[in-house]
Amino acid sequence: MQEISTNALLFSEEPWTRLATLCRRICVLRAQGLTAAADQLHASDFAPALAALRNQAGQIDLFDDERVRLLQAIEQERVANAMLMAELIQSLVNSADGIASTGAATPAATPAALSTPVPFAPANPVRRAPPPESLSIADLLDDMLTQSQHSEA
Amino acid sequence: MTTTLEKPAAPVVSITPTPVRAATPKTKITLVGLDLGTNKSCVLAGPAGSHDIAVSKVVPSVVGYVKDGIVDGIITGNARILFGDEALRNALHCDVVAPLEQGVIARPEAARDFLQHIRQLVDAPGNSEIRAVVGMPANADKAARETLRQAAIGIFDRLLLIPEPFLSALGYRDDARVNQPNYVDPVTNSLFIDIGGGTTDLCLVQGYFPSRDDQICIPFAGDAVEDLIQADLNRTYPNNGLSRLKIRELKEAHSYVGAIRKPLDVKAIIGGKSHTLELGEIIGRACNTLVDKLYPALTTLIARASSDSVVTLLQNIVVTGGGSQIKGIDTVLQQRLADDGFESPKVRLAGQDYKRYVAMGAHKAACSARENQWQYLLS
Repeated sequence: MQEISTNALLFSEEPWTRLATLCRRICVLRAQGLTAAADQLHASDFAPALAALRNQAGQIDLFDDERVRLLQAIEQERVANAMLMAELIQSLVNSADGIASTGAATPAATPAALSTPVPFAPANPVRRAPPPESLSIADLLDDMLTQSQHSEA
Repeated sequence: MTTTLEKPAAPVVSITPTPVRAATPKTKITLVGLDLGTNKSCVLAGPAGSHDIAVSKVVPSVVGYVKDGIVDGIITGNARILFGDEALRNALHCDVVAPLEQGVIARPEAARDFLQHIRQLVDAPGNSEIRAVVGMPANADKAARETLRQAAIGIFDRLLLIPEPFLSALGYRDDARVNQPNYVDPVTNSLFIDIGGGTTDLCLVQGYFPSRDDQICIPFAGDAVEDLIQADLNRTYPNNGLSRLKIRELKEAHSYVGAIRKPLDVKAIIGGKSHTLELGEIIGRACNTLVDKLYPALTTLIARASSDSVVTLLQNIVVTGGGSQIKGIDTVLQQRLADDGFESPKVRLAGQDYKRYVAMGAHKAACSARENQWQYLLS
């Protein structure tokens, strides 16, 4: 962590701060499984910014490939650490919530039964917009878990 | 005392007095896709980090508890508990128990024994961390899900429960062709009708995870059709003595929908004598009842689809599960929709792999699930 902080100082000035921000956003999108969005951001913003930096390199005397690699490594590690921290915190929060609601979550004493069949209700007036094509199975599972949380809340 | 945490991604903590398995060092991770069906279950399993399938089995969902006093050597290995086909073959010497009814666990102890058998099939040495995605009926309630979790504690390490019709769509999807221009991805816009043993599940699959409004579960499926056939047979041929297993065989061999087909003469041994039974009307009536039950649910879901997607949706109605083997079910549903004015409906059958689609979808989900999406089952 200390090493990251020290290295991060290398990128604390423009135009490196902008490049670092873009790199971080791409890493976050990849960590969320939104690969297509990450690729799009890379193509539309990061690559042109990097190209502009390469063009300026002669004038500002800051550019080298090693430095870009270091920037990417730093941002990847920061995002990975942040994701791990978020996962741990979420797990702790969920555990606390679960313990608090243990009384409501007693297991079935009798054989499990299907809930009452869903009545054939009228059409749901608001349909969701089609998702982006990049939606992965993991994103769909996130959707399921969110729905499950809401229905059980 | 057992404490279960309900929230997704949270560990399911359970304290059980006697863990089912002795602690064995877990040296690898095995991903399992399980279609835990009322009559038949299908399990697919493979190592984590790949989509390879190392185990693929369809097992009748029955547990046979060997009766006391059976002479040594009658049952292979003098086993006390048998599973699947072996239990059915030895039905004379066993109390055969079905762990599930209407798609959910009705006998927890038998379910636990059955899941233990599944674990044995996918990881005989017991040195794998087992992460299992298991299909559930579309509207299985909280109690049903909790009963399954409890049954799986100490057998699986991590669990994810997903509605079966959605898994059918995932399993039916041909991943190799998803990016081809002419391929219609069933996960993008389709309607799945999964006719199982205990329930018929209908589900709109439109590229996002189906909400409760996108799914309808009808507690009328293969078993209910058998009930009707049996009742009708008993009226027509009193004291026929046909076992439930025999009636299932007859149903699976001769089921059809549409206009009554006559004659449909079937030979059966009753009381040791050969008899010819006329089953055309009996089977046709029972199967047509199934169509009558599911058709309103089908049109309800179609009505819930957005106007932008409904035309394409009508081209992608897929029938799967054991009920897809009923002769003419695709044609009859399609004709009914057309007669009711729906725009160019197309109903098709999922095909030969109908027994495996839910498990295939479950295995795909297991391969894709993120670490924080699994529920931990700690004994």
